[in-house]
Amino acid sequence: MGWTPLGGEEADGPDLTMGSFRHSTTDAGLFRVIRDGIEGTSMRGLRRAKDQEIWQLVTYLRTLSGAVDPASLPGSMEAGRAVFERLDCGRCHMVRGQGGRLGPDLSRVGERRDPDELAEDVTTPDAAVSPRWWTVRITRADGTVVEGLRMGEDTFNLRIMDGEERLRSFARARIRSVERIEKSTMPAEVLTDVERDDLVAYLASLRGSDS
Amino acid sequence: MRPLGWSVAVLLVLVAQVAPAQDAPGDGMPLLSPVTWERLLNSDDEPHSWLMYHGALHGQRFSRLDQINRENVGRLELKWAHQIRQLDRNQTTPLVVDGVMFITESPSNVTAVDAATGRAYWRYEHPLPDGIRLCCGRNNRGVAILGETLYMSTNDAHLVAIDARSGSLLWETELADHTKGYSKTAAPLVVGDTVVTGIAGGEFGIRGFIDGYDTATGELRWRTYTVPGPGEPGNESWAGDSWRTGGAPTWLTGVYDPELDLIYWGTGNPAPDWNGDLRLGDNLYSSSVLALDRETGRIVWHFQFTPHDAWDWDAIQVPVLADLELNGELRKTMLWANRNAFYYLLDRESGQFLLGEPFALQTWAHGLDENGRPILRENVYPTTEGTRVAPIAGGATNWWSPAFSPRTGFLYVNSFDAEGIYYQRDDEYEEGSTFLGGGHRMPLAADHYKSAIRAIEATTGEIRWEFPITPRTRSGVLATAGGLVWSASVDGYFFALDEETGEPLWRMSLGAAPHASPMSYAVGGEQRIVVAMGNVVFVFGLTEK
Repeated sequence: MGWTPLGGEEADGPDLTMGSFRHSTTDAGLFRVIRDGIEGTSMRGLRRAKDQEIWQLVTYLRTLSGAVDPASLPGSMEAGRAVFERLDCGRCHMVRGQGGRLGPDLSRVGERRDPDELAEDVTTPDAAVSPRWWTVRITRADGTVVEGLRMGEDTFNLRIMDGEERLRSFARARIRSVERIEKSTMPAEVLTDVERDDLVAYLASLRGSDS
Repeated sequence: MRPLGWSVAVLLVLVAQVAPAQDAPGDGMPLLSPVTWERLLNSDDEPHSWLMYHGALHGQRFSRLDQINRENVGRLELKWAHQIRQLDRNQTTPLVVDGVMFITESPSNVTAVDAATGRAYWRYEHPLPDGIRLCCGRNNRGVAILGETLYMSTNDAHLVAIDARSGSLLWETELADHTKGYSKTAAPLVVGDTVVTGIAGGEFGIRGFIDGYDTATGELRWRTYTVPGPGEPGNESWAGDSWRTGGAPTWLTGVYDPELDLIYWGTGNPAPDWNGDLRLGDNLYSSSVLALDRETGRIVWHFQFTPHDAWDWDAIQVPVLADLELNGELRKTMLWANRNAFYYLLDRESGQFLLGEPFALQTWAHGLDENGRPILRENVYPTTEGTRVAPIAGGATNWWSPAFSPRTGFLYVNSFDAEGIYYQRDDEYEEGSTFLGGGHRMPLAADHYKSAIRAIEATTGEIRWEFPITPRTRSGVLATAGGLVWSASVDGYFFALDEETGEPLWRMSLGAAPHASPMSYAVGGEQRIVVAMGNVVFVFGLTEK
């Protein structure tokens, strides 16, 4: 799955450290992408490179994912799933089509976050909040206030998902003010070290179809 | 004979005019209420949304919105545009649901944007594996919706369900093995709680089918093969084992009649495309329309437009459903301007052929017999030296949507008058490789031929007017209750014609060729007209007064 938040923070190229690649699933395919480029994008092929150099690049790309075998982590995936359920994380987070929409979809979080990052995510959720998950508080012209998660923001408009998971669009010209809250809406649960490790092991196991 | 259209059309237009004004865009009111089956059944009653690929289950591509009309169309201006990130052909017909627009993008992606401003909420990108076999580009034409779930075909022959509010993947089902030449490009069709969808790959010797899936879980409910197997009716129309690689793909969205409870779907060419000697017989159910039982997918009736098709003409068009008065009797009919250059009127209850007339240049048949079967001319099949026949392999029209207006009773079709040279050659099926059995070329550049938007009187097949456009144009047509017919031309113009006369009333040069069909919706009580041209989705509305 390739869900992309649209907060205006995107770089042109995709993240190469996720362990999966949008245009290829095989080394031969990566070779082709690097040599030929991707039609219709700014990814140009390295047609003058030697085959050996391209294979070296393929090998390097394969090292970037830092993929960790969840089974090698100190926590228990099964116990972590139980922690996930006990804390009702699914109220806000979707995993393979089940769950809420008020937090990031975690179906493949194990591919994009390493265990240290996951541990930080669950213990100090405010440490690094993606702009997609900031809250905006909008005061309308009539004084009423609407809050929601920031789905998109541009020069003239704001788009949010409110607490009831509804999409809303606001024209800046029609509102009185907007306040940005650059914090996570996720509660900082107090976890024991064991619970934290279990939860991290479970989250690290959430990957593509082979997990 | 007279089309029913008038009284019904007038009523619907009035409904559209008195519909309550929507909230002003940008006020932050909640958008996107769930799309129930009832809403899909009655989509004509809420023309501010565009709830499925054809706009409605009957496939007419007619919008009841009349705010933009023959008098004020000159005040049209660009409201916003959406740039697609890929350079592939842009074949999308967006959906609009209560102020949110869903735009599919090549190869297998979808973006949700605010229908008032074009600004994005989310984007879903489907990861594609290597080795996908595509005859004709990394295309995607649209999504379907039920509740708050979008359904989309992907080039690797999967069907995906996506949460309409967040873009999250809900489930994913593989229909067939993409390494064997199966792929998917068409918008699915929601019928009740079943999502109905077809398959592409007619140039790779696949065995075509139409599937019905549980909308909630993605589980297969039924599969109907378009090439019958041994012991099934129609298998005898294939010599030897040729049915195994018989093609007959289903790569365009079908339609549904709720009263008859029948799904209608067109099928593509038999494989190999141009060597009919490798598959002697009529090759059922290639180049046909099928009427399917909703619950089981069982074939209730079929009509084959081009038996033993050796020209790659397919029958991949939109089955347009309309109730027409014929000889004083109201008939449930199906209108079909076929790629083989004949316009057909069928009884959609029984499949009975009612009439057929050429709507474009054709040199392959003397005409159609009383059952609608073509009466072939001599020496029209492909040969090793080449056989000159009209229409071309690309057809007198193609998958681009026609539009039917109940106001005029006309079917508006983008048509092409040209001849091609068809070659036959030996071929052997190899899994995952093209299986064509020949080739085709146009002897002259397209400029030597003629494209036109034609208004076909549905009950007679008579051409009532035509508007010539630069050949060869690949654009669908939209009709709206404001008396306008919308289409685009290969030289980059988007234009509006008078529904009665074909007179051009408005045009704008957008600088790139179309590969899609226009649609219409309204936001904040203002009508919008949408067309995808080049790699951009353009949205037009009236200037402020």
